[in-house]
Amino acid sequence: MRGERSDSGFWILDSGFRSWISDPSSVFRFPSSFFLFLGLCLWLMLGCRLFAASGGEDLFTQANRAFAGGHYADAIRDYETVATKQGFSAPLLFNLANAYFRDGKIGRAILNYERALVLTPKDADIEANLRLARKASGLFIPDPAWWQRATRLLSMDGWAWLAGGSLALSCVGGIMGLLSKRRPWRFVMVLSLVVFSAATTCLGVRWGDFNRAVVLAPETPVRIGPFDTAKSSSALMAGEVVEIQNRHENYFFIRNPDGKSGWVSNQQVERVLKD
Amino acid sequence: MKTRFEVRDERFEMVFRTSILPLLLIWAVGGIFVSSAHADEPRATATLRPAEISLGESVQLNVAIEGAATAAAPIIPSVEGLEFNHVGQSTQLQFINGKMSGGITHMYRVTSSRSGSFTIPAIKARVGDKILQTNPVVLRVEKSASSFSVPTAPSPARQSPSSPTSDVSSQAVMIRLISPKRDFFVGELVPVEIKLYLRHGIQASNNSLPVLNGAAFTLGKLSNRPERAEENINGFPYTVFTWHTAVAAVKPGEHPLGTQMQIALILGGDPFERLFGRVQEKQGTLQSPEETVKVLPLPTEGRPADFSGAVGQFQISASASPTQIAVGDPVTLKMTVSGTGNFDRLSGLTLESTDGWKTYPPSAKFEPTDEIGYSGKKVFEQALIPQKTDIKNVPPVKLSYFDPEARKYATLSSSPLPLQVSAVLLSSTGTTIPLTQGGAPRSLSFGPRPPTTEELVPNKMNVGHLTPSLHPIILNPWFQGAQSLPLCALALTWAVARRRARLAGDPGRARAVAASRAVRAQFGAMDAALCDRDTPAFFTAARRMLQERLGENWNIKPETIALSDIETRLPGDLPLTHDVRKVFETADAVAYSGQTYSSEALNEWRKAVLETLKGLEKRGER
Repeated sequence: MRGERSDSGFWILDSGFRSWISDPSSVFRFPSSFFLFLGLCLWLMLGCRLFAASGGEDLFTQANRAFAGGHYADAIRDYETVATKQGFSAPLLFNLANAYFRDGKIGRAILNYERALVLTPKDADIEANLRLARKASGLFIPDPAWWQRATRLLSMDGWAWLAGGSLALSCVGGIMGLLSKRRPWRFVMVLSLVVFSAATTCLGVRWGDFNRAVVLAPETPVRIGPFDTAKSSSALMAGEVVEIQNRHENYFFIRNPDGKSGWVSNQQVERVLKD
Repeated sequence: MKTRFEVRDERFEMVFRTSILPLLLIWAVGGIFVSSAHADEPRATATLRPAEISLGESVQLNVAIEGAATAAAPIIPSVEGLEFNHVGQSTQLQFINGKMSGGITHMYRVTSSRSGSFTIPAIKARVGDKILQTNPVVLRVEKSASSFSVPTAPSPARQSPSSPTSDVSSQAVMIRLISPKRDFFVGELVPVEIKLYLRHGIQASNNSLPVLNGAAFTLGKLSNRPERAEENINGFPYTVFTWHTAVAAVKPGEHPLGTQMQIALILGGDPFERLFGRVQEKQGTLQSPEETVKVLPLPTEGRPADFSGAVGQFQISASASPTQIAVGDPVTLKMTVSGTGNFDRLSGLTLESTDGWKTYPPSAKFEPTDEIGYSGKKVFEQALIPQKTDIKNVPPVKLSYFDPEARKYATLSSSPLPLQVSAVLLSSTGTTIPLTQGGAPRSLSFGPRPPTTEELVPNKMNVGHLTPSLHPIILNPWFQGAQSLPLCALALTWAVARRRARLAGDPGRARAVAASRAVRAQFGAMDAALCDRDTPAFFTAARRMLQERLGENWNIKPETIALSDIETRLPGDLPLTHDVRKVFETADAVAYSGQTYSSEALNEWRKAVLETLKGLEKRGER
């Protein structure tokens, strides 16, 4: 798109503003109309978000104030309200987890730290508090292998966007390569495919995260059948991370990293990836 | 698990070896002598073997016709309560000095539907034109104790645990539970054997695994597959299937101990019958004789306070890691209990002292070293957190259990495990936490006491970017669908590029495609002219459309085709030629004279031009 430097030093697009001034009807012609429409959309989206954020910010601040005053139950209620009405963010989940921790609810604290890590996987503050909560709960999580750490460089959304973007770029490379027969486009395509493969591999490794859940209650019984009257074979500690493998009515069939498996009431475990 | 027990029956091979092959040889080699041979007067006899059976068993009836090489199978007269099935025939012939001996034997399987004495009357057999009669035979069928030929419960005097098969009589199918001892303690796990005896020739399948008769005992895990062995009991060969398992008594007193099993006898086990599907299954429950076992209660005298019900003979060992830690760091105490006994009742070990420690419930994992879970080791892992710096050892662990062999309680204790607990604790934020007097960290707390601000990274002040769901975008159908767009674009581009390449390599096809495209363009121009009632433009487009089609047909440039070419290249007598010429002539006339047509007339011309175009396309295809 052509442009020229104006006297005031700003770059303006002569296919846009200047033509609108000289010919108002050009507003309805491409590409001027397209950019106008795009700008309006962006402005509306930004406005809506700022409006929503300001509402969320108020309640969030109120919750922070309750937390600072030692009213953890009130803080939890307010943080949960923000999450229910406006959605999740890593700082919100982090503060909520802190409030649960202070309130002595280790299981829910660990659950919300885990959720915060879903949004920002490498956040040092979240990891530190999660480590502390686990230690307080007597849980020991072995250090992950290097390849597991590598898959946590990005969030699942990050890997998904990278995979989608690299796939699109490889398609562009392929299209341009077909049309122009030039070698650089083929190189772009191959490189993008490599990135796409790496991103999808990381996504595949983390696919099990969909079934990760956290035990909420201390001494949660693991039953041999999905019934309240079934015999308990062992117990899980609050904050233990388990994998949900099956469901029968109000019971989940779970397996923990030690290989312990059985049925646990769905009131006593909760998925990390909440709907 | 359903197992089919098959005891090898060699009758089939015997029939082949002793009957069919010799018969074929005799027919092939000695047949010429038979006609001239002299034989004794033929006679028929009937024999039952054995003459006495139990209900559910079958017996073989042989009808032997001596002095005849061939004879049709005799028809057995009906006897109420008995069923006869012809299972085969055998022939044994000898020629000595031209004199024939031996004969043919027809075999029947006889089964009884009730007990009692049955007389099979004389059986008539036809040999040539003679009718022979056998002797009547008597079959006695006895009642059995159960659905099958299970022996009645022997008297206690005859039972001996050391010789479990001493009471075995000549029954066809039996089951026994063999226990090495007669006195149990409550909760004691006693390894036992369950044996299923099948006499040779009997085939059966189990519909269930063995279970215990009474409610005073519980049956442990059965071995995965029964062991198979051969035994000779009272002169009868048996195949014995043995399950290893263990029983435990649940209440004191004298209780009968026995086992039972659902089983199906396969009647008609002859290979011929199996070949033709003539087999029957007889379902029933097989009961073992019951022996009375004395179950003793665990003594109350000398019972340790921490006794949790473990009965057996055990050893313990313990280890801890890491052994150099800071206050508040966890230690994993691994305790292993090995030996034999009732590991299910081994719920945990006791720490001698928990002063200065925070303890968590242990996890347990049992690793059996045999199939039935009688011997093995149970590993407990327990998290311990020291809360003081003056702790020097991980406290010893204790196990109290009852030893049924020594008939008394025993307590084992591990030795203390050395431990170094440092005086400072690194918080999660990397700062050290000062300790109070006595060594306990001032700010560290567990359980209900909330942690203090020194430990937790403080709250965030900004809520940040809010997202409506924690579910990854990869699960969003729009996101998934969007991934297909670039792929579709790539596929489309590839298809276009491939089409271009194909056209580049085939000039004829390229010309046809170009002509079709030009015809479509002129068609559009013709319709546009029709809408504008522009007569010259209409006819110019119509002529050009026909030129494009003819140019492709004749492989010449369309714009060079003139009326003269039509007359020379198209046959003059064709209506098509006339139509084409008319369009060309009218186009010329309109161009030079400025003649105009009405919309209706132009529409008529449009139809005519299209018909002409179709005609040219058909001609071009030919």
